[in-house]
Amino acid sequence: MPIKVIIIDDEPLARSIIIHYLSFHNEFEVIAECGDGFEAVKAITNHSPDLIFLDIQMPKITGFEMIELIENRPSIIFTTAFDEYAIKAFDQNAIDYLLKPFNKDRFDRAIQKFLLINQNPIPIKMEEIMINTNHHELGTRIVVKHLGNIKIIPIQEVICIEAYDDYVKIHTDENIFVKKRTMSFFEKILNPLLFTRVHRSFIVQVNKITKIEQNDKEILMAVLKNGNRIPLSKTGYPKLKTVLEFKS
Amino acid sequence: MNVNLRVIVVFFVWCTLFALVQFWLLLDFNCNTYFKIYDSLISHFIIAFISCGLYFISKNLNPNYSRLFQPLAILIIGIGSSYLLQKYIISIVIDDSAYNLFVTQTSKLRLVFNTLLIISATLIGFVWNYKSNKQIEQQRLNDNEQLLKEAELLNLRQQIQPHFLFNSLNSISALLLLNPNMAQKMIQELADFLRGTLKKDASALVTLKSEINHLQLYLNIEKVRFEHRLTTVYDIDKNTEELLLPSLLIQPIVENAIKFGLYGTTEKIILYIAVKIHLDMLMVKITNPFDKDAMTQNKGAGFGLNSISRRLYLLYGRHDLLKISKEENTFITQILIPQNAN
Repeated sequence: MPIKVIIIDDEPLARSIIIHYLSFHNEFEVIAECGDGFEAVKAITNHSPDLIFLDIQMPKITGFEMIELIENRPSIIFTTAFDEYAIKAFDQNAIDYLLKPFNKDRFDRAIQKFLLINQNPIPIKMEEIMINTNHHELGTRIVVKHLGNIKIIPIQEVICIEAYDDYVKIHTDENIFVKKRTMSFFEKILNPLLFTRVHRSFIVQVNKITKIEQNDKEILMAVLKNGNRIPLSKTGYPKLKTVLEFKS
Repeated sequence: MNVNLRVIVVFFVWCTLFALVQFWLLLDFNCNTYFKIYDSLISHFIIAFISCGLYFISKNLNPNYSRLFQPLAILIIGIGSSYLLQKYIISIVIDDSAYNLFVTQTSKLRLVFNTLLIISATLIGFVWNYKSNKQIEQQRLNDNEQLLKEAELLNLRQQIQPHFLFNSLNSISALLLLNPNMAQKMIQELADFLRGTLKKDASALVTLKSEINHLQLYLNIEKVRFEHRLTTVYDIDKNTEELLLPSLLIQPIVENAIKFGLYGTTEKIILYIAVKIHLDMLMVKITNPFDKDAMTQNKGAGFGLNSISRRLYLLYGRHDLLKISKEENTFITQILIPQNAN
């Protein structure tokens, strides 16, 4: 059975060179080409490839954001023109990365590496890659999959983020979205003047708080603009107070 | 003439004049005419000498206006020593006890004379010194400002984007396999584009024609990268071709438009570039579509336009030359370039 490959890059010529280099390896079969992340999510879900070649800078959503949206991750070989930070992250987490332009020898080495590692694939630590690459979408928006569609949430629309086992619930005025992510990841990437972790289970956008009050069990609660209440922990309340004082 | 030399000459001329005045005053007294000449010359030569000394001391003093004590003390020492020196040298040169007695008798008068002359000389020196210092300072400030401006302009002029460069090289690499003739054409265009970008002078003016040529090199490369997806439409008035504008001003705007328009979407896009004369200024208008939904992604794209706006301000001192407007799905960037600024 041939090894199924999908090539994802917004430039046709960049895809064609990969197809050309792959044509020397009979065991591989290119089953789809995609020009953006949305198409790629669909193609990967439909075809479940063994290997993808993935560009990072693409229209609509980046390569990184795309990876997060797929459930069964195939092996990934990143192709990128210029991402200083990314390279560091790839070293640990990808089969290989190809810096454009790359020649056939370099490409063949990546293929060899894939064939070698493929016996026991390395799990990709997406959060680590996202933090290390420091690309400019980070902390400005969150990409989620919702009812089969891809949704880009601008960070200003996020009211609060709630821990939910291995997932987080992202509350917005529109809806509640679920994403596989840790609280500490968001704590790291979000602007600390806008978002504060007020509780083990809650990160809140400071601007969305209308007042702070005590409930009958003498626990401090933040009342949000949408009427919801979230608890403030013993360490969370002073943190919030510092931010509020700083802003006023 | 050097300020110091000028001060010395003026002081000596000034004192020679007053030597004549003193001689004229001494004519009323009945004594040897040669003594009178010696007395006048010696007295005023010493005053000139002391004045010069005070001038150079004051020049090297730290100008600390809150402390008047130091300059005042120096002035008093100067005046006192001038009188003592006069008396001493006259007593050596003129070997006549009657005349020396006369000198002692007129001591008060001489002291007053010395004081007035030295103070006025010091004041003149001070004013000149102040003026020349101020001039030097002003010159230094101007130079500094000019240097800063040049550096900022150079900095603002958009550098070549590494993404653009490496992706273009990657396209060439692909074309070498698929279409070598096309690859060669693209190498040529990329080389010409890079050459144009490397031009040093940040405030140099170029003709619209050459700027559009440079722009076309850039767009041709992007068209190879994105094939059929990018179409450009030019609407350039013939009479604008020879008008002047700062180099590398339009290309970054188009690059920005492409970032918004092309990189943000997978659709085909049309880019309109219109140039005409508006209110005696050169008006360049670039229209591109943009995807509202993908807007959050392009936050960083604002920088390109901020630096354009800053550049226009540094060159023309105006904030109203760059205009941006958004309609439904189109983004319009418009710049005006004054034509008779220099």
